[in-house]
Amino acid sequence: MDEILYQELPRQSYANRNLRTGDGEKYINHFMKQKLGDKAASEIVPHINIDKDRKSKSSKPEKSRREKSSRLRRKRVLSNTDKKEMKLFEIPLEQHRYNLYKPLHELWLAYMRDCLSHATKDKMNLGVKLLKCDLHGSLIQVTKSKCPTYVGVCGILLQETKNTFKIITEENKLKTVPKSSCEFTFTVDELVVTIHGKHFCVRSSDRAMKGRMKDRVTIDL
Amino acid sequence: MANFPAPKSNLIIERSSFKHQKSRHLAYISGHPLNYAVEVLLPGAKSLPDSLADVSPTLDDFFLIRDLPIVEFVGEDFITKIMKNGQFTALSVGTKVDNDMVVAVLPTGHLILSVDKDIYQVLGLSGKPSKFTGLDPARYMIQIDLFSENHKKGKKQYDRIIWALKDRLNLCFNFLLSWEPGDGNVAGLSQLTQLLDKYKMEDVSVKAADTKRKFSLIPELNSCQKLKEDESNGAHNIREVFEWIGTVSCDSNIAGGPEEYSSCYTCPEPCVEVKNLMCRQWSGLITVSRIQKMLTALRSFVMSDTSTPWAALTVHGFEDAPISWWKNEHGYHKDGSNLYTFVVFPDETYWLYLAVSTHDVCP
Repeated sequence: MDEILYQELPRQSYANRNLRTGDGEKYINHFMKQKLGDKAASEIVPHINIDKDRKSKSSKPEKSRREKSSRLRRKRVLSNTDKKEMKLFEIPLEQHRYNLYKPLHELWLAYMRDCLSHATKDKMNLGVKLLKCDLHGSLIQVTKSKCPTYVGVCGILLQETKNTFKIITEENKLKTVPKSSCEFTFTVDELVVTIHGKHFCVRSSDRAMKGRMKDRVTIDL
Repeated sequence: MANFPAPKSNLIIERSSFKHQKSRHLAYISGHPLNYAVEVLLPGAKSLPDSLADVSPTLDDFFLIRDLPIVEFVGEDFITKIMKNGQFTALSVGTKVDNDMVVAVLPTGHLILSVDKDIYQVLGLSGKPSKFTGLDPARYMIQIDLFSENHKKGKKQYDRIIWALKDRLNLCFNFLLSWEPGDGNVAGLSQLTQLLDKYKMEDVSVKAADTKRKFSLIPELNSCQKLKEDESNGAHNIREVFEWIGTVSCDSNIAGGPEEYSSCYTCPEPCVEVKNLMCRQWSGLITVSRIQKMLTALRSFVMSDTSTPWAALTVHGFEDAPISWWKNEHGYHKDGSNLYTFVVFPDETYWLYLAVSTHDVCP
């Protein structure tokens, strides 16, 4: 073992040691010529891509780190899916109490009276006005439905999604009613409003922004 | 030229004996509660025999009540006092089963509502879509078991039904009612009138109509004849016999010949001539037990009387009834016929024809 270790180096390996580590290109040219012969080396060498700028190589991981950090910073704002996953939209079971939301209904009534006091008596304009109103807190009832067991569900509207109403009933039960197959009514003093759920499948925010809906011919469920 | 096929209809023929253990004649009679008319055809008899007159439907009473809310039938008081205490039948009149709402109460304690789509969506009682309206159902059948355990005061289902029929839609109809009090009932009909005294109640009597013929040809029937169509050995086509019974009850001209102008219909061969032929029809709301009594009377009459080779008893159901047999749905397409005929022979055998129209479930 010792004999092999302390043997003299083969002459080839130190003949070019005076080459500086920086001259990569030169070294490769020399190496190829030595191994493959002049002709083959001249053909291959131009295709070898040597990274001349070592500085840029080292800066690359730094940049990706910055990107990552910026992405992290953006994630601090929760997306809708995140909120859904964290169950932020769900009303906890101990809050399923009708009496808890009675003040909300009073508040909504006051809000509606205020809204309607400015409205004209013209029914067309009134409809447009009503479309822009917020319905959270209204006492709403299902009057017609494709599925008969939904008929008669009555309570305070707590949540409105694109396709459903979430209603808390007097029996302290939270019911999710699909809009598309039902017809709803709510009353503000003497005004009775009927909502044809099939044409009401819009998010409440979008509805307030647009303020106008398509005229549809059929009111059939 | 367009060739439209005739609407489908069903005719079921059975042959059995009244003495047979598994004979289904009672099941078919009791399963068909909404009967409009009953008809007896007696070849060879001059007038209606006394044994049949003693059990004729004219002895029964039935009532017409105007603007009666359905919710009256659903109350627990009514159910325990009337429905569980006898045979109660009710059917809304003047309503068409193909475009109105039809209500029936069966002696088995079922309330049947045949409603169109709009009422169904408002009413809030769950039912099943009709079998004859395709993928987008325009008619629904609601069946409520009034004798069920859940139909009691304080139960959720009970409250829901009362709410739907009273507060939601207070539906009123003209009803035909009939009630046979059970054996242990002393108060009798006054109990019913007491409960419904708020409403106008009219007594309606059963109408009777006679058809009599002299020297008429009748088909000569053999009780053991095969039911399959087999005309090779001179036997009748069994369906032609049913047709013949129909023509007699319609009182149409059956003595035609090949050269007759208006009708060339003749009695199916082989036939014999009888001196008299009588046919009597009663119409009204006829109860199941009345028909059972009539059938037993007819059986004993045919056995005892030698001049009658056979006899027929036909029962017609209401055209606009929501059900035909049992709780099978009944509809109105081209016609709403649902009827059955017993052909009774002296040796206690019988043929039974059950005929239903297009919008009917085969019994």
